[in-house]
Amino acid sequence: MSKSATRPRVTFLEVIAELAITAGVLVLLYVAWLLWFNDAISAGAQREAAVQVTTVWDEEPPAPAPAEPGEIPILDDPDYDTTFAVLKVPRWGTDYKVPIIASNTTDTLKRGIAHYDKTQMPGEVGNFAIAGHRTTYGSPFAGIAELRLGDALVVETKLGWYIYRWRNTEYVWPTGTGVLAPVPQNGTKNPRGDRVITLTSCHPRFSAAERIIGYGVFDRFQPRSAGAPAELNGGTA
Amino acid sequence: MYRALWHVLPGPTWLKLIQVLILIVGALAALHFWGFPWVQEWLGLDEVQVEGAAAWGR
Repeated sequence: MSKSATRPRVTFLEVIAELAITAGVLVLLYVAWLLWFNDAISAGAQREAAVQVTTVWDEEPPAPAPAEPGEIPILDDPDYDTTFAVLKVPRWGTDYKVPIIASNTTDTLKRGIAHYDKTQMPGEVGNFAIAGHRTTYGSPFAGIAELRLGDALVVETKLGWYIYRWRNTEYVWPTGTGVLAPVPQNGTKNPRGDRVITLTSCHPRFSAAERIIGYGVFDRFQPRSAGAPAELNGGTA
Repeated sequence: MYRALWHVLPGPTWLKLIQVLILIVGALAALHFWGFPWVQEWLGLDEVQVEGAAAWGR
């Protein structure tokens, strides 16, 4: 082919230089992808998934209110990998809603918040423990360190709204599974019948060195037939 | 390297430009769907679970 005669000579230096530039661009692209692009895409997808599932719950006939006032209905064990709840935290924005999924894998955490399936269900005596990303893949727990005493952590299910109140933060090693105990850090004996929620995420940000833990205590249950709780409408009751 | 690639692409300049754009978009898509998630998992920047969750049964 006559064309190959006019093909420019590729020099060794040129290849090295272009590879170095390409590597630099790739690193910058990765950082931008990690911090903004993929984070925003994941957050949008998670919000959409949460809206979808709550819309289905809204359209279903509401579960009958509990026979006894003050009785707290507990969800049956959800099917593996289904979205059985949605977390809403007014402190993190009125628009904050993220699906809570009944599986706990790396892939689950890309799609929302993962429930530790050996721990209890929302409102149940014991510990409702969930894990979420703090810095990537939508960062559902980005604001975990900004929660204040008494902040509402609302867990919405098809039965209604379980309202927890944020209590405190703790920092543990990655092996600190005591935070998942029915009484966190205090084993399975639960004579007072405490109901708590436990949030786990990474600490420091962008690191796997430690874990940040957020605790909330159960406040009350509001059945779906009673409508959304005031906390979600800007109130503080 | 890139100079040679430009040379290899067929057609007039405008066609080459379109081909380069397609190649760039393809590379970005591959990075988004496979490359970066793989790097992310390999780096393990954001581990959020406490391990050994099976320790606490119901």
